[in-house]
Amino acid sequence: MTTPYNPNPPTTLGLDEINLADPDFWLRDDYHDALTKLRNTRPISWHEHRDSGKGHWALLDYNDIVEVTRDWTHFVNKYGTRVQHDYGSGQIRPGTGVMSELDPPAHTKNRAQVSQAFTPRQVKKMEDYVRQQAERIVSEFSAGDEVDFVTEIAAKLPLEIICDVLGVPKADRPMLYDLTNRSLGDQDPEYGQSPDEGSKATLAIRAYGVKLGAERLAKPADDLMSEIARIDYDGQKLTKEQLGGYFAILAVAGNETSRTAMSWGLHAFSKFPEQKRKFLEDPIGLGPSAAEEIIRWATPVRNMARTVEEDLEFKGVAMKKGQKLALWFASSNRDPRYFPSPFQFDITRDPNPMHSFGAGGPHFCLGANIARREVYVLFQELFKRFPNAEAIGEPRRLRSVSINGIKSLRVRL
Amino acid sequence: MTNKSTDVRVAVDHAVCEASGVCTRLVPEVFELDENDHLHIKHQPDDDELSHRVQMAIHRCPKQALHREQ
Repeated sequence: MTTPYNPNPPTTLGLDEINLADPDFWLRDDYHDALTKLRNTRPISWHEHRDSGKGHWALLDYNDIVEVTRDWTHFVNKYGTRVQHDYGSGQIRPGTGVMSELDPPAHTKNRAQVSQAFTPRQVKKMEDYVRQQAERIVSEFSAGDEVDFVTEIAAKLPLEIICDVLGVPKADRPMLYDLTNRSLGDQDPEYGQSPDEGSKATLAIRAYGVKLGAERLAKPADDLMSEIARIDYDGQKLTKEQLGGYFAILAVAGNETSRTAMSWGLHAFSKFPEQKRKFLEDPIGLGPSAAEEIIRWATPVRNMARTVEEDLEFKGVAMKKGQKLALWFASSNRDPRYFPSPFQFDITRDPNPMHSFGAGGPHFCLGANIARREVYVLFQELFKRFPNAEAIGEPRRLRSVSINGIKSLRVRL
Repeated sequence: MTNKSTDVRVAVDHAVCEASGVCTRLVPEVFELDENDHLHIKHQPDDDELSHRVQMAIHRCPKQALHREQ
């Protein structure tokens, strides 16, 4: 007899032992309860760890996170959005110099150049195509097969979709996938011995984007990279730096996040079999709300960082210009005031005002509509063919303060 | 209570809206995107529950394209 699954085991950490800047904290099974404990006592607190640079203000409260997200004049993106990176340390992120690392009004203009490609109408046009890809990916297997769900199934769909949107040739996709892992896995020894490895991978992705952009400018095709290469910004073409940045932020953000959501989704369906039964009874009707809950449950991006633009006081806490803040969506997505029974995976949850795509500010995830569709279409196609698919092991998790990644998950189809 | 829920009317600034669909997901009874990504307000909130959710949608619009009008 197996013991019942407890997604929120009580923490053994004392308040002063909780260090959100420590990547190893996030490998603990009791981190959710530690977050709850901290949120209830110190909704804003300072955290430092050598793997995460000079430290940051951790914001855990749902409403504080919303407030900061919407106040782009005091809490800015332009010094970077990965809390483990210090400004001026030379670390490069996919979004350096473009959308995610700009503030309004430059951000507004920059984003408008590409946002038309991601509206519900554009994404709806992709539905049949997403379904065909999902069907093709799962049809390579037979019932009873044991697979690594992360690399053999979950990683493939978002990679194919974002590469098709951008116009990346098939032959280059495995290389891009590997570079994405290295860029986001810059705190995990499996993907590189130092954060520099992550920056190197990010630079390689950006260089690839510059090359692809130049090719598309010379010979446009029907893809987003051709559109981006043609962008005219106040009478000027994008710089190489920006071109590479656009490509990298879209390729990386469109890749790892959906994969992580799908992997945690399958894990959750395995641990909450009544939710899976519910989904199997009405996979079309429940698709959208199931995707929303899977994305809340997974919270693929644990936090986004901001930088304090000037000395100020926020909720009684004195903050200095240049200090980093992390908006911990991992905490706000389990706040019982907004999510009754937050540790119940509930595919009919409504409303589901989760923060996985951001807390509503100008940087709200551009790919949200694609991500949602990828997630529910994958589970519709997967369970149509393999209604008994379930996890037969525990996830091997990524060591990272920012990404709730899974490196592998054994699944029997 | 000085404000009745029926006093809350919501309006959209079409020049700012980028059709992210946040509001249509939160309050499908009120907000709808058409085939051209144009946002429509189908019906103004007429009870407290709907007003509350519309308020949430106004607050959560990534572009701050929604606002209350009297």
